[in-house]
Amino acid sequence: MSDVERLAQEPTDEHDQRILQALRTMWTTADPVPQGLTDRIRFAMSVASLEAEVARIVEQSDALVGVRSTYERATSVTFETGSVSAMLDIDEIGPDHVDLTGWVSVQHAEVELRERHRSRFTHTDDNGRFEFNGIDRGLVHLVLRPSEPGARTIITPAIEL
Amino acid sequence: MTTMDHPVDLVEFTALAFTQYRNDDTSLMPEFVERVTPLLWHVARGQSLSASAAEDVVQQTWLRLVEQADRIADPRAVLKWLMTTTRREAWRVSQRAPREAPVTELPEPTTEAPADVLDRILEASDSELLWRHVHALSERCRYLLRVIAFADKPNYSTIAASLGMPVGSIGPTRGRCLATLRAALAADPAFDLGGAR
Repeated sequence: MSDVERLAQEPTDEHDQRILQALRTMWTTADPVPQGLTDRIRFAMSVASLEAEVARIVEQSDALVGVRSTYERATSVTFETGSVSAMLDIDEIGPDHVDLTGWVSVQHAEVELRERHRSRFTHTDDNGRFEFNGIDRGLVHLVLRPSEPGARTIITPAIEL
Repeated sequence: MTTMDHPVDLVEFTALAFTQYRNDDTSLMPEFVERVTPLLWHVARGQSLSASAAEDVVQQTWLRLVEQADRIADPRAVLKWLMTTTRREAWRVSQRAPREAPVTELPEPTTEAPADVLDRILEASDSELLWRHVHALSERCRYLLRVIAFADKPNYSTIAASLGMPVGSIGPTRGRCLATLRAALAADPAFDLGGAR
């Protein structure tokens, strides 16, 4: 049996813990978890809607350069679930405010825009269009509730405006 | 989050946090997210996902936990579920997005640690040596150790299995990847972790 094979079958000890700690430090330096990520996760999870369906962010074009605070801000984000897609255009109207225009691939839905300390609500029109004006920059996410009976609520990941 | 300094078995901790969460007690959720997100981050980044794509994948994995909470029968399986979901989603995204070159050089730290100059030089050379030894490992071992390093008391078999690398052994043995690295470090007279080899 080679040395490595013998070592592999031994239980881990304190020296292994030191090696793993050194690896942890090394990888934390080389590739840190982006600042604010866990904050965004907790915010998005706080919707606490166990029956909701989660939309994916679809990065479909170069126009979308990132939707997180640590990167350039997006001007357009597309979300999708198995059955529904939604697009959100973000227009800067001042240093601290944006207008949001969205389209959802269902005809009638209530749209909730969750901000840190409040929610705003609107409804889609006959074309699935909705808008929110004068939104403070910051972390938001959307909750879509299609009015069709039996349709599931859809939540999007949190994005940084 | 004072308990963050205390090493815990992640499988046990996540099982407890998840059980409470399902009973509408979210008091452990902040710690749950803080402890597990680094693992998920490295699961995603280890698949050569860009930082922005990895952020999306990790956040979506957590949201999917909210969505699927009722379908995870055994709370002790939640850590594996989170890692597996991240790995699969990262793979799915990597198939359609341009891959990012993996991090192959140790970047300069952006903030200086408050240490003496001599300490810093020693630390820097040790991290570079460690980096080189890690990169001499197989890609598979590198990936495994990268993720395991973020799991306090490593639950080797759960994590390896979540990464699609079932280990034959049972119990908290060192495993081949860590053994290979340990042997390489022990054989390198220039490397010193401060302690017995």
